[in-house]
Amino acid sequence: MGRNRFVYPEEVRLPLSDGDYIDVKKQLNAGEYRKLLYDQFKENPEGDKVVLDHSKIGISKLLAYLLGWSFCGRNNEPLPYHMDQPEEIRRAAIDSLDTDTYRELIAAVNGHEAREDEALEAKKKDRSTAVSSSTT
Amino acid sequence: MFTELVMHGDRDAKMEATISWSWHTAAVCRAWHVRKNDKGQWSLIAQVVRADPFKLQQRPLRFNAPRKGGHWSWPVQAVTVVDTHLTAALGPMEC
Repeated sequence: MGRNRFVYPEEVRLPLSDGDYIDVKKQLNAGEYRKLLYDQFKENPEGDKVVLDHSKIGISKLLAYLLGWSFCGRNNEPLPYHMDQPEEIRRAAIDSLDTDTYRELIAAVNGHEAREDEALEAKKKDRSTAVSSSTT
Repeated sequence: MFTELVMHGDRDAKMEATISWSWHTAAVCRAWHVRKNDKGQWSLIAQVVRADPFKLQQRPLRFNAPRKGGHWSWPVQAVTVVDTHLTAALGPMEC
């Protein structure tokens, strides 16, 4: 039997400074990954090639991964972020953060993505080792 | 308490309800009718605007109907889609 090739929704909680946290998708599925790639590019008016839009890289990744956070407003009222909200509302919520927090979120999500990629590579290696040892 | 209850949304996009699988949208419905019968069983009939067959096969699914300030929500026990016609058996309503 082949391996499972589908992504089932799993959440991972990433700790931040000052006791805060964010919840993110463990892994993007193909549709989410394709949207993330597409969202980071813009049409080039001078040619038929699309170009990377550097202003969209961080925010696109956050919109792709982020499921929720523990952040409160200045009167300690919870300011929820969840996937039921339209994308423009979620984008506006992220855009309202201070720049330190924004950078911290990007670093946390990049770190999570790197760890997941490593884990996937390790799994691939395990599978290829298992196949080669079963054929010898 | 009600012995029987019927709730419905019309064909208006503002009244669109969804069937969700975790954070994914498995189906978007309009013209939905939710009914609780005298045995306390909940059922759903709706017109599907769009549906993802893979996600509709997953569990757990939830049916989320819009209301002022939020959603009513039911666990989906079984769902069938034929063309654009969706029927489902629902568990007890959870607000």
